[in-house]
Amino acid sequence: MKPKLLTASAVLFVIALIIILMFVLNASPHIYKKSEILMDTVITLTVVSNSERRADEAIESAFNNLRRLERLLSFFDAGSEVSAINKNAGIGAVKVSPDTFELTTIALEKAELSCGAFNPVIGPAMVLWDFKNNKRPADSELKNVLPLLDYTRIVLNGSDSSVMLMDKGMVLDLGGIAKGYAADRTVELLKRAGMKAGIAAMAGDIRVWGTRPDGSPWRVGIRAPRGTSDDLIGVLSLEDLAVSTSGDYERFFIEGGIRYHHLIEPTTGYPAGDFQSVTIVNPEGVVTDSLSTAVFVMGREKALRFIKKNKLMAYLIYADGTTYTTENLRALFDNR
Amino acid sequence: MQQRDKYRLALLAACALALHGFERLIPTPIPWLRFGFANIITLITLILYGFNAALTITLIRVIIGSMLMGTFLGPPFIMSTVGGLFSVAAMWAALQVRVFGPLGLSLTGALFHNLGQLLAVYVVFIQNLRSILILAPVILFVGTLTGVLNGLAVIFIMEHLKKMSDNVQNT
Amino acid sequence: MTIAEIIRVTTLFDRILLVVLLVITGASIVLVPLYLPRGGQIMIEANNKLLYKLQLSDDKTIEINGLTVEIKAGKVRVADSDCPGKVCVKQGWIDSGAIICLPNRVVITVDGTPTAPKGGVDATT
Repeated sequence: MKPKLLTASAVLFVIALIIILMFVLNASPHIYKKSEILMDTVITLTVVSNSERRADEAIESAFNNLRRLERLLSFFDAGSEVSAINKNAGIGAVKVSPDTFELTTIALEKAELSCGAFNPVIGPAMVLWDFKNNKRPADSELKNVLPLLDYTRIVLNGSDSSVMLMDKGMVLDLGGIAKGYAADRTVELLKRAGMKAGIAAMAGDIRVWGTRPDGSPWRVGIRAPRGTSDDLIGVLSLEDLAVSTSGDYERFFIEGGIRYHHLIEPTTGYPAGDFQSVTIVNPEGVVTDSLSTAVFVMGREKALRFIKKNKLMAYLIYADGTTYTTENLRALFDNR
Repeated sequence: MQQRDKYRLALLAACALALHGFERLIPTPIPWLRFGFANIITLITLILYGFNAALTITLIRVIIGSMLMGTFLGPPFIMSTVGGLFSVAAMWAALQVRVFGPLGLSLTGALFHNLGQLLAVYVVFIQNLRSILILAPVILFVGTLTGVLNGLAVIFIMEHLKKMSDNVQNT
Repeated sequence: MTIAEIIRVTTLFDRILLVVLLVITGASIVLVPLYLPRGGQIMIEANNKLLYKLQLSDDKTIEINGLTVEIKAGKVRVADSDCPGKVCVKQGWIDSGAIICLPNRVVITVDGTPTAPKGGVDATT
């Protein structure tokens, strides 16, 4: 009887071990993730949920909302509200949906805050830079369009929620803030759908809420500007914060040893040269998206003053490769 | 019900509770995978006093037990309740067929206890059919083993009770 | 009580039930994981429309929007693409996560137990 009892308990023990193992593997949190190509970029939504079904439903409704926002805000879609505003530049005001009006209002606010460094009407200068065929515009071409880059010539009318560009040839492009806005709205929607934590990543404009299933903060890597897309220069540990990076490596070409990139300085029409990348962390995606661009084009001195004055959390990589992390971001930042 | 039977039921419920609590001292990875020793008491009650008594004892065990453990209305409570009710109902049904002895009844009880818990896990907690399908056979297999253990315990106890009552009648 | 006595107390149906349960549950421990789709499904979307839903277990090669998608030995990769950067091709074989080709608007997602995030981060800015 005794040896049998021993074997029996041994078998039971092994089985118990197997079960422990399976539970360790299975009980580890359920992260659900989906990527789609929207707003000319890759959007990845991540949620933490106990239920696959609820997670899928929430992610699906979030993507539906993003598709709706894209239809309203797309610069390239001729049927979008932004296109309607642009077609009526210098002609008349265009009534728009609450989302478009809200975002235009915020964009104008950020333009004023940054004294035009963030500029939602930089379009006429941007289109002259052809990053597909690596062609740069002539000085005279750029000079001609500079008067059209005056964001104070956007007129908002709250009473009928309309937007008007005062001068013919002006072009409104909310692309520099729409992804941050989309991240904000998406997090709001997913929270309402009962998702306790997750990440809304509109390419490099990322907003996280809650924590990872194990209780640790979400880890967001910052790209090394001169590496491949997989090389990281640092990692941020974030909870309930948004982050955006503007870098000279996103769209660029090199001609005669000079890097021409898409972060255009609105007063000259030329790419700004003081930084390789600027990362801003803030609770709101609209802030990080717009101000990372703004700080980038401000240039070193102005940028530092602006960051200090607005108490921004920022990580700067200067043109020479040296870096600066603001005091209030150091606890969240890890070097690679 | 006679007064004496009420006392006996109370005693049995106390035994079930004690076993229920005792089980927790044996380390298992998760709150709802256990030996199910309390099922010994439930089965004996079912055989001696019938369905109502067994159901009463199960409910007492589940409710008081969860209150003592501080899990009342929490996940372990839902698991125990669903599992307990499934098990009592299944054992009662098996008893009606009259072909099973204590071992068969205990196995039925263990099987349905686990099936009930798996169902509750799926409906209430993780709606991930894949992981449940992978886990189910393991849980049911272990359940069969513990079912044998509990069945043997019931056989021992019933024999003992029989001898005792024989002794009482003989003197 | 001896073992013989215990066996005597059990009925025929008790023993049948025990054997049946042991065999069925024991066998399904081995068989269920074998017959469940391994690793999960591959979803291939182009222009945000789901075009293919495949199993990682069936080896296959698919042409879609200028991409050659290859499924082999429980993994998937983009073997070739006509896009300029070829980021999707460089990503190589994966068995979880996603391969995304932005220029061709193709998203290949592998459903399954998520592995540790790439490079230890959950997202990259």
